[in-house]
Amino acid sequence: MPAEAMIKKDYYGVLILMVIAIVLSLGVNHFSSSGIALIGQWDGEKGVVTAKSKQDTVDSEIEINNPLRVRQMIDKGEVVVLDVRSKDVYDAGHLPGAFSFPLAEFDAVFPKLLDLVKKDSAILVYCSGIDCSDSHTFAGQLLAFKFTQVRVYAGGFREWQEMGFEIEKNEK
Amino acid sequence: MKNNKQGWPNWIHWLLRLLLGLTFIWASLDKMVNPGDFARIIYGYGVFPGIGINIIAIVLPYVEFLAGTCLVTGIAPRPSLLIINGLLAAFIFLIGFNLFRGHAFDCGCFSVTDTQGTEAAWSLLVRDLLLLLAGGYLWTQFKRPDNT
Repeated sequence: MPAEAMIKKDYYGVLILMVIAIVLSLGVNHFSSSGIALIGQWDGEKGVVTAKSKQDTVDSEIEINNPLRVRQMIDKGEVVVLDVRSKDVYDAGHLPGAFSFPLAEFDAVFPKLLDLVKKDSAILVYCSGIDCSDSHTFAGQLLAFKFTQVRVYAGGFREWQEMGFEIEKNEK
Repeated sequence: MKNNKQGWPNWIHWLLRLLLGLTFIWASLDKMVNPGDFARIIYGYGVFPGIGINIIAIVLPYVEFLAGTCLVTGIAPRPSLLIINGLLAAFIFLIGFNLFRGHAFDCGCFSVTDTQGTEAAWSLLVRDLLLLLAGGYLWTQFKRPDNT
């Protein structure tokens, strides 16, 4: 086979494989329960980033995307602050007055939360940063248990740290 | 045992095809099941526009799976090897670029949960370079136009 014909054959081969992959992937994604939207929310300025999957827990309506507002709320004691990262990470540094309620241990820590807050208490949940949706997952579970004033700090610990705000640590 | 045109045993050729093909099939599986987590990892690379992240997360695992399968089964081996080598070159560029600018990222190469930090990026780079070397060698072994 001449070189030009083989290159053409390779080109069409690649094209056909790519078309099959695109059609197959879009079809499966459409029907799969873990499928995602064709365009996600990847603008950190707008809040927690998300692929907008069918199982998505991110709810931009409950987000606070303003670190100054969050600091004001904490300084005035307006909210109970929950850190849903792991305990080790929490011990290494967390927002002032925040309580550790790791998402991974939700079932175990939930009774302690009921001792700490009422269902109409103002609660602010955060995790590591704008690319972390654990805070939304935790907040969603609280809302499912009929807590009425649950908000998420979108910027999370990373933004708080970058702002140079006070950080508490637990000495080991 | 038959040798190829460079005097290497043919089983090396098949071993490399299996290595490359199965590596890509294996790498695609978790990403196909968890496109949302994979999209978050792509976002973490910090090089793609937001509008394209989800499309890449949806399509790329299927491209990997299809190319790997075709290489192993021998269906369209040259086009599938072209795709695999192209992807490896792209991965090497992305990992190298992020290492160069000191950008922390998770690879997401084989699993969307078993993410790795920047400290593993060098080993990922070396691994992808070795795979590309294998892919380059295989390319020389497929039927060449001037040999037909």
